[in-house]
Amino acid sequence: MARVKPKRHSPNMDLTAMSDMAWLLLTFFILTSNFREPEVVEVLTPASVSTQKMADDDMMKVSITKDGKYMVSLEEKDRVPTLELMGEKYGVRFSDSEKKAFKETAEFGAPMQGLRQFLNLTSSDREKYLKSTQAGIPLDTINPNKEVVDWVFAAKEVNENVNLAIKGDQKATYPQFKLLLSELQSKNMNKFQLITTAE
Amino acid sequence: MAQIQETSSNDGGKVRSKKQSTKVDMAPLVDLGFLLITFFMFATTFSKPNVMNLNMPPKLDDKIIDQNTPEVKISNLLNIIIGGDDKLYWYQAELKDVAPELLQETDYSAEGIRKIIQTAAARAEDKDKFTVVIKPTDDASYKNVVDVLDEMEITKSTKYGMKDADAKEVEVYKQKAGK
Repeated sequence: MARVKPKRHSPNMDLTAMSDMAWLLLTFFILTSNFREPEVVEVLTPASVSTQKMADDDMMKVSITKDGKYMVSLEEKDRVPTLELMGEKYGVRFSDSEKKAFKETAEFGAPMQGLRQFLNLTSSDREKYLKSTQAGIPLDTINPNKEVVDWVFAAKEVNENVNLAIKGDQKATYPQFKLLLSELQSKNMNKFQLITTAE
Repeated sequence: MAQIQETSSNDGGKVRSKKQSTKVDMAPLVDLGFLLITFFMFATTFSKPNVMNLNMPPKLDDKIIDQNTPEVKISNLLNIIIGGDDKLYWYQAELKDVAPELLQETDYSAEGIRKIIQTAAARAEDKDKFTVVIKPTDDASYKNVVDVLDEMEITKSTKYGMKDADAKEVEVYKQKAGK
């Protein structure tokens, strides 16, 4: 007598649907992630136990490099209006191409007087400049030149929700940090976020 | 669909070219897809830096400060002086009594400053009023300051303040450090 054999299924499963879904998700993640802007001057932040993540939007950054120079990095959408505001204040007029160059600069460190020259450099020359000893935005109390503070408040004027994150290098000294804090505090800005790395 | 069942019943006697199966093994494709997804998911969440909040008190007139300064008992107060070369000192006394013998040296390890903060907090007369005052000197590095602020988080000391070291404290610290 013929025994009824159970119908054997092929072990090959149709993976097309799974693959479709995987690539769809992949496309989604690629498109939604925003890439980190390249850092020209490396800043090694100190470690902390804090697990709070930096917000995605409305953040501006003041970096203190290990040589004690200040660099500012603004939110992309605020860059041009902030530049215009600072230009008015310091009596510097920027051309459209300079504004465009500024919009594309993630982090800059040049005094107002040399900013136009800085923006007219090619991007590789700009990197060279930022790594050189002349780079940095001045913050000086002896010959009062508080451009860093002016940048921060100009950015605040453009976008009132913006938060300030301070990104200091491990080797930066306390007086450099104190100078920035006390200058901002004297203008009644008392809330800061310090960027750290996870331990 | 990528898979079409091949029916091979070759009994006509004619020689047919062998039909290639249209099945493609999708497994590597799926593997790669998921691998890339995992990479992007991690890459996006880990690229965000961590932040630590630092709220400083607003600047007030000296007059208002003079009127409102509360009396703080010595045992409720722990002063930490951050020196250069990764050195750390602490004392619990009135500012006018500070002397090199009173200043005690410690370090940034878990057995060092963390223990001191914890024991001082446990010994404090009013435990809810226990305050840590962080006083960095000009020799301190930014990393030292962040490390001490981090200890505040670890020991859950909610009451703490940061101010510059007093001229007298700097003098005493320099004597202690042998400068």
